[in-house]
Amino acid sequence: MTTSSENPDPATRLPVDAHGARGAVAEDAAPRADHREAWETLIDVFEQAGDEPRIAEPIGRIEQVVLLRSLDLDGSGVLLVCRGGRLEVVDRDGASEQPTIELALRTPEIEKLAVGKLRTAMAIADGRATYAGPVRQFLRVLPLVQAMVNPPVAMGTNTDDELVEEIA
Amino acid sequence: MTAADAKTAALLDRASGYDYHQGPMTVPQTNPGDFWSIECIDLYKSFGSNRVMNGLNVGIPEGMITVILGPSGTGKSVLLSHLIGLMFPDKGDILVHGESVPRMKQARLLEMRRKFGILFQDGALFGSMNVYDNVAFPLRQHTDMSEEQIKDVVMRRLDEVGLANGAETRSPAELSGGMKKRAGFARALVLEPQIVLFDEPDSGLDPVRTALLCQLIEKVHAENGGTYVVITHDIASARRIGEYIAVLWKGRIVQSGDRDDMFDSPNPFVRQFLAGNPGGPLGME
Repeated sequence: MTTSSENPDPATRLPVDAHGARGAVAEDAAPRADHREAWETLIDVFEQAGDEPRIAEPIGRIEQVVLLRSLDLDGSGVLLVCRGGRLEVVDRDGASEQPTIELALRTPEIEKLAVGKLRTAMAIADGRATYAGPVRQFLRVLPLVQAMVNPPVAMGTNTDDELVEEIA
Repeated sequence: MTAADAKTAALLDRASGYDYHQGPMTVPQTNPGDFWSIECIDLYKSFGSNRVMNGLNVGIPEGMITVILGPSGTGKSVLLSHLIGLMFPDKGDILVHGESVPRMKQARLLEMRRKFGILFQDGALFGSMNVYDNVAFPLRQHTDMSEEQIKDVVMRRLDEVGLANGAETRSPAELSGGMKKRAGFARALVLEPQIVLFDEPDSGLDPVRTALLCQLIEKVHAENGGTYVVITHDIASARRIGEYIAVLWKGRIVQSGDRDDMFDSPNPFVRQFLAGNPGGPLGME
């Protein structure tokens, strides 16, 4: 497992497709190294989220242990322990915690999640991701992690400053 | 069945008959509420001879902004009232986090409503209170927080919506339409709801202010998570903020799906409505 200090901007580590979009590589075309790279990038993202109290605190209030798995890497998975207002990324091997939720993703979805662009519920509905347990609890707070790597547009951006001032 | 009902039924059958009609998403759940935030199952509701909901099925996914889009008078606000248990269906069920709303006892219903924050069309601010007191109202009513704690929450929420700049001391009468909406939004958020409903958030706003409000809704959702349900007939708003879109017509969901799929939909009903085209299966009836 890598640490967040190795990569301050996980999005820049993702492969770029023919249209210049990061994380949009077709799963069939993705070599095994890319599966691993995408997975490690995603782990970095959750470790960063765990280090950021503004994000970790609400996630840590769901009181669930999430087993996050890659469907493209044999058995790879980590536990996201969301408890007591903290988010901890724990290696699955040897962990005493038992998962209450499982979310398994293919590499294209892992890449999209890592850059904050996965509509996770849609991915589950389309069969691009699988789940077990009360995944809704995790989906509820997942936008916070996605917003960390893909911040929302600030209100008033791309509009006339004077108008925004007047509206505010 | 009246002639009008028969015509409606025939049109709905045609709409449902297209290959691309998706209907409600089906995601298996081991336990109710494992996946869906809200499920509406085969809802029927009539007022006298006027059938407003006509076998409505829709699932609202968690962690996304869902837009329920439909022409005027098609049952959008009635649906919203059903979600929070202000109205009950003649037939069918509504599950919020897996719990049946029509079957809830009054005490449980009141508790369940605390999961919701609602931004009403006009903001629904109390005219006798300033903005600060309007936003503080739910905290004073439903929590035992101290005034100091309330101030922290209220000012944080007002800051989030861009109203912590002195606007908190103004009365609603002194606010523009956009500011009223933002104050109403701040009030909808103070109890940290898991589901936020927006009833025609664009009503009464010009296109720029509508766009700014949409941007704000997206930003606040990204920072707080949860389920956001926007009920509107404004296609620009749906395109801007909707991640999952359900098109409601004649009391039934004609099609629902990912935003990008919906705006590329070959379904003539959906295409006509989303394009605002007068020519097509939708008429004035």
